Amino acid sequence: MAAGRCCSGWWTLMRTLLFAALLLCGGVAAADLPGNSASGWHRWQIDNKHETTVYVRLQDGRPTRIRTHDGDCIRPPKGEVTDHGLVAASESYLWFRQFVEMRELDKHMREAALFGIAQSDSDQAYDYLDSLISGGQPRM
Amino acid sequence: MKSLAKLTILITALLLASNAAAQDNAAEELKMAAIEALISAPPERALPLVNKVLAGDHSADAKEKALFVLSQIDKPEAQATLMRFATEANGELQAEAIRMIGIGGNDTSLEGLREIYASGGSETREAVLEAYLIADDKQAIFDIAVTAEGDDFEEAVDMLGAMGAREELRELSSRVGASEELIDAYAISGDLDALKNIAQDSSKPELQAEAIEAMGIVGGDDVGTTLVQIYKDAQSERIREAALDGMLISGHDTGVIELYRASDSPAEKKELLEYLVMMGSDEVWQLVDAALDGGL
Repeated sequence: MAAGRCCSGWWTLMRTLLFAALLLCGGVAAADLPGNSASGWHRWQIDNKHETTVYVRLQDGRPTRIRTHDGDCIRPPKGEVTDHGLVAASESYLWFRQFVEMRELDKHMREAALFGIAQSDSDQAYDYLDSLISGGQPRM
Repeated sequence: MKSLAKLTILITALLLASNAAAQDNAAEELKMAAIEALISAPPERALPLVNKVLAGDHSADAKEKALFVLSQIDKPEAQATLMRFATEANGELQAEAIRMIGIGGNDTSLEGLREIYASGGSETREAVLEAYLIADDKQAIFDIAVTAEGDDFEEAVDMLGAMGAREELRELSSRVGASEELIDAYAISGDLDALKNIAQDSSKPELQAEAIEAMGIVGGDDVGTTLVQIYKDAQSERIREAALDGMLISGHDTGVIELYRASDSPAEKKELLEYLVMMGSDEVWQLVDAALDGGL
């Protein structure tokens, strides 16, 4: 994990730029995280100083359960879990954001995705929360 | 044709207005959820956004949520902002800030509420008591009760009862003397021994009767047996009535039936039967049948 972090700065910046470009084009998919057809439990650790662990249960790419916790104090779900390893905070933020903006998704899941964003610990994440709080776009 | 066009325009306008209202409502819900989500953010990230909500032109609900997030941030600047709202804000926002100090449980902030209580209006004082209740700070409420009067005393004592603060209530009684408020609090806290002490003191008959009746709130077999004995030993109608009311409250119908069967007085039997009817006792109709058959 330490080795991964040493070189993660440049790579994270590149990925952030890439995802920002995707976002501007209207798409917010995250390459290393579960795609839009994924199902079952998935896990990753956000690359922030709190080492937030995320567990999500997906059904055809949409979350039906979201659990986030700092450190290792989280009970893993039973059954098979696909591990995505260490993920940049900006990537995790973008992954959660697509569900906040998915109007047809269950309201509670969209709200749970906001908690995932709040724990992403990136400037983009807090700018986004700030825009929601200030009454900016997007709308629910 | 003209009317049809007007109607179409009207319906379209209504639909657009309704859609805009729904979007506004959804945006407000998302905003609230975003504020709540800050609770899981690192404090140094959450604090600037929370402060922005509190300083901005947001709804009272949004600011109350921000105060809650603030209460969960264990940083001096967060506590200072909470104290500022608890001291300087008005109305419900001030009361909410005070309650949030109770939820946060920060010792320094809780201590600061004493001054706010002393200088605040009745709603502020009530909010301070609620904060201490939430923080389970019995000592702070006891300190208030010692010098409080009237409604303030009653509210503080009620809180101590709800908190099960038996030692504090007994200490309070030794300082200010027994009272109806303290008897109610003893009952709510389940302090049967304290109630028994007052129930045995015939120097203040009204308080004695109140304590006997309040024993019914505590309930249990021990209470039932004690109330039956008090009824049997009673020297006044008021005490007998209080014991019966206690049995009514605790649902101790077997005690009333015992007294009914032991009684030779038709008037007393009638009264006991009335109590059994009020209690919905299963045996009451057998007793009524027996009475009608001449077994009264």
